[in-house]
Amino acid sequence: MLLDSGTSSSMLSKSKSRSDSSEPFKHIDWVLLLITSALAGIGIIAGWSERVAKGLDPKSGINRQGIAVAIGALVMMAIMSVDYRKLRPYAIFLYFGTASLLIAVRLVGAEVNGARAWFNLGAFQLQPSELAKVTLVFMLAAYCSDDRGQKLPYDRFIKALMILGLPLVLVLAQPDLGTASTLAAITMGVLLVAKAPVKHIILISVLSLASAYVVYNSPVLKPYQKDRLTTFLHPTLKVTELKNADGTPKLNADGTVSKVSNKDQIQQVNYAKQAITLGRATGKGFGKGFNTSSGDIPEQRTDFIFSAIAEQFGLIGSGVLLLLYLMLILRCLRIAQIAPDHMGSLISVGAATLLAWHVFENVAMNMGMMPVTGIPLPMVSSGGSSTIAFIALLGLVQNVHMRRYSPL
Amino acid sequence: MGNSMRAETSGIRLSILGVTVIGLFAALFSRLWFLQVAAEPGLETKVANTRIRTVPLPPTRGRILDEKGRVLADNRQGLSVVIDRNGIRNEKKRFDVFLSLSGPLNKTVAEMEARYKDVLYDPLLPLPLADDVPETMAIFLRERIVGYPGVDVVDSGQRSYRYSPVASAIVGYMGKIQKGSESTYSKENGYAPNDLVGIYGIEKSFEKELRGKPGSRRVEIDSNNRVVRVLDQIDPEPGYDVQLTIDIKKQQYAEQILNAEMVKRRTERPPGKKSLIDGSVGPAGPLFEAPEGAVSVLTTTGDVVALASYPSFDNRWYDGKTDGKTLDTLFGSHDGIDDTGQKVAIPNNGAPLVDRSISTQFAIGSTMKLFTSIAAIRNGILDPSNKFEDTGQWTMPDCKVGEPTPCDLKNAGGAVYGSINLSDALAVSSDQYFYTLGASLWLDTPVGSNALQSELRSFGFGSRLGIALPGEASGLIPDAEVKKALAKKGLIGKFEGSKYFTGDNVNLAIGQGLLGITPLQLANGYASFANGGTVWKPRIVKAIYEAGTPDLTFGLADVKNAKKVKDVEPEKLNQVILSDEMVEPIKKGLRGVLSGGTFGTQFQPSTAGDTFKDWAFDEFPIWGKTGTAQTGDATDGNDTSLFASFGGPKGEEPKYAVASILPKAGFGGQASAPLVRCIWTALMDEKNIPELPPVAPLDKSIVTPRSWAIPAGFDASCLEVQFKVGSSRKEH
Repeated sequence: MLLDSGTSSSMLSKSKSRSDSSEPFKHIDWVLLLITSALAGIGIIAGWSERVAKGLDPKSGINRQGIAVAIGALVMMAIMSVDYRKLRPYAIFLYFGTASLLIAVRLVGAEVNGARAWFNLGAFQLQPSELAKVTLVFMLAAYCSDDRGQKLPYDRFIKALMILGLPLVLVLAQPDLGTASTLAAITMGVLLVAKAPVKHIILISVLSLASAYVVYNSPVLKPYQKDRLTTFLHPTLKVTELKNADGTPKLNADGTVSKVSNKDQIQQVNYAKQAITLGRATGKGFGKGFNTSSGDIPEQRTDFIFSAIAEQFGLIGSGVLLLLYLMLILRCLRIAQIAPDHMGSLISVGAATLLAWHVFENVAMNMGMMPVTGIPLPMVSSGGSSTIAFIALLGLVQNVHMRRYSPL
Repeated sequence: MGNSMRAETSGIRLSILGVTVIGLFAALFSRLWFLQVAAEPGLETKVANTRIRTVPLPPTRGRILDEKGRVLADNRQGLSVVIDRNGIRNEKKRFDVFLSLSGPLNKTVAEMEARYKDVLYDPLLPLPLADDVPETMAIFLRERIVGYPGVDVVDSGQRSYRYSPVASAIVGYMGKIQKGSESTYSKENGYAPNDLVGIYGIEKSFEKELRGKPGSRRVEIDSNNRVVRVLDQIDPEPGYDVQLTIDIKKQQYAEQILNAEMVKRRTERPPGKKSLIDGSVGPAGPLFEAPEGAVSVLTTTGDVVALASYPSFDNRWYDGKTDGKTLDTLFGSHDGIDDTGQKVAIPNNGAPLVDRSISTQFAIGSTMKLFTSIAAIRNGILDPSNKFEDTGQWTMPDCKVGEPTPCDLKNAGGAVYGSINLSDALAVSSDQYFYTLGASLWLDTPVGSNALQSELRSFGFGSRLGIALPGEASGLIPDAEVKKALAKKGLIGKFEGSKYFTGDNVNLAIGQGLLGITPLQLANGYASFANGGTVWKPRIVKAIYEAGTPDLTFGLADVKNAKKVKDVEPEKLNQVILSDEMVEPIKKGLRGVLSGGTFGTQFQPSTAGDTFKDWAFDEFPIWGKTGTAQTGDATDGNDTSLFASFGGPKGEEPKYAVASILPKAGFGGQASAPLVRCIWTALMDEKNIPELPPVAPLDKSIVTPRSWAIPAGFDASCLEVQFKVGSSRKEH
C-alpha cells in the first residue's frame, strides 16, 4: 500500500500541488506529531525526576516509560502506514478481540488492589481496558460514519449504544469506574458529531444520569466504593468494615476484621493539592519536589504525576502542559473538520473526546475537583499500556490527516 | 467527500465540542491559578505544614556539683558517626554502605540496619550509626570521608561523670525512657522517644531541674529532606546546676575505706569459742563473708556528707548503650560461701546497683540502746542514776515456755557486769539491763501506747526520711499489726505473728528481731540526739543555680559567683524533747564505749575502747555505740557489725553523725568501729584525705571486671586495731 502510493507518486507526477494524493507521508500533521512527541518526552522526564528526587541514579534501571514510548512510536508508524479506511472491515474483529481480552483478564488477570485489570506478561503488564478505549473509538467511528450526511437513525443510535454496552459492562465488572466513564464520554462525543438527533442525545443523557443515580443507590456499589466517589466533595474519613456475601464480617488472615477507608485517598489528594500549591508560579526546579520524593503520595508516577510536575515547574510548567493538551485536542477537532470522510472525522472526534476526558478528570482529580479514579494523564503518567494506546490513537488521527487528499 | 450539509452540521457540533473542551480547560486553568498563585495565605500555611518540619533542639543538661563546687556530672562534647539517610534509602546500596562501615565502626550490618529501622531515630535527622566514638575512629573516618559517602562525624553532647566511680549511686546515671514512665517523659513534657533521662540517683530525682527546656527549630526542607532554610528558632533553655551537700573528697574516702574494710574482713575469722569447762579455745570459724555494707555520714543539721555503699558500680558505663553482659563482666564476682560452707564465686558482686546506705534495712543491735534508754526515761520507768545488779542472767516476766523468745536470757558472751547504772550499761553494753527496760516498756506502760515503737518513730525510723534520692527504704518497726501483716504474707510463722509478745519488746530493746533501719536512718537518729532532738530530713541537694556558672579551675565551678535559683532549705521532720536527765548519762555512756575505763563496781572493758584508745577526745570529742545484730543462725560469722556515733571539733555542738552497718563482718567493735574511726579521722582533718583529681573519660573499649583490691597508695592502716584479749567483745 505504502509502496504502491509511493511509487505511483514519484513516477506519475512530480506535482508541487499540496493535493498530491499519492504521498500521504507528505501530509503528516507536524503540529500533531510535535505535540505528541513533546508530551511523550515530558512523560519520560517526569518519571526521571522522581528518581532524581529520590536520590536514585537516573541512569540506572530500565526506563520503562521510554520503552513504552518507543513501542508506541513503532505502533504509530505501523498504523500510519495503512490507510485507515482500509481498516474499516477489521473494526468488528478488533472490537470483539478486545472484548475477549476484557473477559480473559477477568479470569486469568493479575489482581492488583482488588481489581483484575492486568495481564502479567513478564516484564510488562497489559491493561486491556486501555486498549478498549482505542478500539471503541475506531469501532464507533466505523459504525456511525455516514458520508451521505444523514442524521443517525434511531436503530443505529441504539446499536451504537450497544457497541458501548459490551466493553462498559466488562470494565464495570473489574470494577473500573474511571474507564467506564471514559468509554461513555467517547460514545457521547462520537454520537454528537455523528449527528445523532439532539432529542436522542438529551434522552440518553437523562437516562444515563438516572441510571447512575439508581446504580449509586443500589447494592451494586459497595459502600466504600461510594465513599471513593464522594470523598472529593466531603474529604472526611470514613472507615467501612468489609462483609462477606452472607453478611458476616470479612476477616483478614490474622483474624482481624478487614476494613477499608478513604484515608489514603484523602491523603493522596491533600498531598497532591499541597504539592501543586507549593509549586507557586515558577516551581521548585527539576527533581526538587518534596512530595515527589517523600513517598507520601502513592501512585505518584501514574495518577498523580500532574501534582509532581506542578510542584517542580510551577504554574508556568503545568500551564504549558495543559496548553499542550488543549492544543492537541483542538488539533484533533480541526482534523475532524478537514477529514477526508465521516469515519476519519469521527475517529478524530473520538480521540479528542478521549483525550479531553482523561486530561480533565486526571488534572481535576489532582486538584481535588473530581473523584479519584485511576485515569492516567495521557502519555505523561507512567504506564505502558496507556501510553502505547494513546500514541497509537494519535497515530490513527495522524492517519486521517495524512490521507485527507488520498483517494481510497 | 461529504456534502456541504454534512460539513455544516458537523461543523456546529464540532464547535460545541470544542467550546466544551475549552470550557473544561478554562476551569482547570483557573483552579490551577487559584492554587498556585492566588491561594489565600491561610491555605498556604496549612498546606505548608507538612513541608515545614520542627526539629527539636535538646537543652544542655544542668551539672551536678558537690558541696565545694566540684563538677560531678558535666557535659562534654563527644563524637558521633552519622549518615545521611538519602544515600541509603536503596536497600542494596544501604547494605553495601553498612558493610563497608562495619569494620571501621566495629558494628555489624544487622546492628546498623536495626538502627535504620528504629522509629526512635528522627527520620529528618541524619541517622546516628555510632555514638561517642573514640577520637582515633573519628580521625580514621574523617581522613577517608570520600570513601564513605554521606557519612559524617559530628559533635554530640555526652554526659560525663568526672569523679566516677566515686558517688555513682548518688549522682546516678541516665538511660532510655523506661517502660511505664512514658507518660512522665511524654512529648507534651518536652521529651522525644529517644531522649535520655535520669533513671538513677540525683539524675533521676532532679530530672526536672537538670533537664532544662528543649527548644525547637522550624525548618523548610526540600525533596531530599535537606534543610533549605531555617524559618525560626526557639532556643533551648539549659537546665539548672544542682549542688549537693556531699563533699566528693569525703565521699571518696568513705567509699574507699569501706571497700578496704570489706576486703580486710574477708581475710579474718571469728575467734573460737572459749570452753566453759576448761577454758580452752575452740577452732576459729570460717572466714567472714562480708558481702556488703554501708556507711552514712551526716551533719547533725541533716546534710548528707557521704553515703557509701558496698559493692558499688561505675555510673560511666550507664549510657543507655552498654549491654547487660558487659555490665556483668564489669561487676565481676567475689568469693563467697554457699550454704554448705564451700567457697563459691558470687556473680555480679551481689547487686552493686542497690545503694545499701538508703535502700537496705537492717536490725541495728545495741546501737538501739540509745533510743531504748530515752524511751525508758521518758516513760518514767528508768532513773539513770539508779544502780542495777547485772547478774548476767535474766528471766523474762510474763513469759511462757514455747514463745518465740526464750524466757531465760543471758548477756552476750555470758558476761556478768555487777552493779551498773545507765552510763555503765551503755558502755559495756549490758543486755540484761536493756532486757529489763524492754520488758518494762511493754508491761509497765499503758496497753496500746507502744512506748518504744513511738519513741523510734519520733526519731524518724519506720518511714522514709524523704532524702532526694530514689529507692529509699522505709524501714520496719515491729508491733502487733506489723507482725500480723507479716504472718499474713507468710514471712513469719502463724504463732509468732499471732500477737506481740513481751519477748518481742525485749528483743526490740536491744535492736534485734524484726526491726529494720537503714544506715541513713541510723545516722540521722544519732544526729537528732546529738543536736538536741531535731529530726531533720536528710538534705542532699543544697542549692540550685542557673546555668552558666564559670569554672574556677577545670572541674571546679565558681559557686560563690553563681546565680542562685534557690536554696534548698533544711526541713524539720520532728522535734524530740530531750531532757538533760536523758542526755547527760547517755552521752557519758556513749563516751565510755569509746574511751574505756571503769564502769560499775569493777573494771570492765568497753566495747570499742581498744579501737578508740588513742583518740584525742579533748580536741575532737566523739560519742558512739557499737552493735552486733544476729541474723540467720546465730553463729558469729553471721553477725552484723554496727557502729553509730556523733561528734565534732571541740567547743562546738557535735557537727557530724556517722553510722556503719556491715553484715556478716563480725562484732560491732571488730568491723564497723575501726571503719568509723577512720572516717572520724578524715572528718577531723581533711588533710588526712588525699586530693581527688577529676578523671579523664572512660575508655569503654576496655571491659575489665572491677577490682575491689585496696588501691595502691591508699592508706588503710587506720583500720588496724590491736585488740586486747577480752576487749571489743561481742554485745548485742
